[in-house]
Amino acid sequence: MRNIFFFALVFVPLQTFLALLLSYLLNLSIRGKVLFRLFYFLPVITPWVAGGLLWVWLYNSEFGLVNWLLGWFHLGPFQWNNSDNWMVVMGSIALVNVWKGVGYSMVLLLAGMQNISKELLEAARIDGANGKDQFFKIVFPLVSPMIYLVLILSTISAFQAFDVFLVMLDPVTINIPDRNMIPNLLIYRDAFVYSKMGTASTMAWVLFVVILLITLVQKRMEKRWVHYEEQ
Amino acid sequence: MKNNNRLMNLLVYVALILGAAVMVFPFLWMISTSLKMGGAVQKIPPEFIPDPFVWSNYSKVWVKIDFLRYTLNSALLATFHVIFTLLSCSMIAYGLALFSFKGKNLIYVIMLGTLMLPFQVTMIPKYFIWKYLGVLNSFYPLIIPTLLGGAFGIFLIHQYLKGLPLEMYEAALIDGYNPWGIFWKIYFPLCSPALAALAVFTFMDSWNNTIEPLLYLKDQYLYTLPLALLYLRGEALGEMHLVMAGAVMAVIPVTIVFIVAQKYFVQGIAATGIKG
Repeated sequence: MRNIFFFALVFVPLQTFLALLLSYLLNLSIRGKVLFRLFYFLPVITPWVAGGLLWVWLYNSEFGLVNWLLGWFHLGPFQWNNSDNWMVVMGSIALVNVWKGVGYSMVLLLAGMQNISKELLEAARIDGANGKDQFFKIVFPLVSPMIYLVLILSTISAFQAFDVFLVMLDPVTINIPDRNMIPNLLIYRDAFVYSKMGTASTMAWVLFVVILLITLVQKRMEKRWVHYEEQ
Repeated sequence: MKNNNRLMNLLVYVALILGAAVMVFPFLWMISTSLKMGGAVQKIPPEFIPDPFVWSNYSKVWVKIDFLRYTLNSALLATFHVIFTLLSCSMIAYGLALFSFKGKNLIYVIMLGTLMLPFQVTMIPKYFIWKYLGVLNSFYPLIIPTLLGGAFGIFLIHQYLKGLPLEMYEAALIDGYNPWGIFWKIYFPLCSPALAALAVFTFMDSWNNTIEPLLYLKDQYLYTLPLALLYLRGEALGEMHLVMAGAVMAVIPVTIVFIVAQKYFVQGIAATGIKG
């Protein structure tokens, strides 16, 4: 449980922030918009197993490209998804999850931003608002319902993440040390590898209740910062 | 002022290009690795452009595991999934959008509620249902549920139908069509943008689905591509160039579908966001 909370804590804010940044930049008048969008979206459509295997290879401690790049700065070599430190393991898997998911959140936010009328921004500019003001006083409040949706969706997906852990830790699941275990894999292992369906079912329900509680808390917080236009 | 703007623009481009590089580079590395000789994979510093290009890695994968069979399995499942999902979701959404009956709202809310239910909660009971029906280790558990519709698809089509004028239904009734005919002749064709989006989503989900085939399929000849890749990883331990070749082959079909259908895909995502 500790693991998955840490995982969500790294993954959700990072993904939301990056998606917000990217969609804002892409919404400016930029050339090659379609191409950029395609690039950012490519990981979303990749099968998890292919993407996961690829990152296992990139993270490889001896021959992986990540350590080689860090080697330029005389850092490393580090262990990533095989590290003895659970925080590093969860963190590096969370980064892969961001790589995979940021395109999806970006498209959602982009759809929200395209609904903002150009006249509104134009008017603000004439009134002397600079880029920063335009973003925080106009774009952010108007897109906030979409940001809220992205937050909820990525939180739920963090707690339901399964494929990424399966591929990056161990597909057979029996060799995963306890310090790297997450609820989803544990449920799967108990139910289908060890045939302990009872405990697995219990854990599944506990997980569901936890997700539900977190979503409810987020719903509470929603009133504080999400801006809905009066209909 | 003008200079300042130009600098800002430049910064935006640099940021976007850097970001895109991070996103795309792993794919290039995957392709590059898949074309290397066995020994060259572990070279330091790494070789970015393989020398020579070893195309035979791809054929080796086909020999090592029955790649064609797994691809066909995946393609077969995806075809069934897309056809069944489109039919079932559009019919259910049509029923919910155009007819009024007792308990309709309740049904709709419960159906949407299933979107919240994590897969982990349902996977164990589902497994037992298929077990008692005696169809584990076959494609039935993967195909039949799509005949019953899915909350996401129903929601998507329902949203779209609500935007269409209801008068058409009345008019067609007067012209002598029955509700069934109206569905096929009028509303089904009208929904085609939403249906296209749903088709793309369903295809991607089906192609990339790991856990369900993992639960239900035991025999190797039934494996789908994700399972085949996991299996290949075990078979070709340490032969990264072969694993990557397999990964490239699994990624290519979805990429083609996505590029062709990008417009519908993006529209579909935007449409689901409307509820938020």
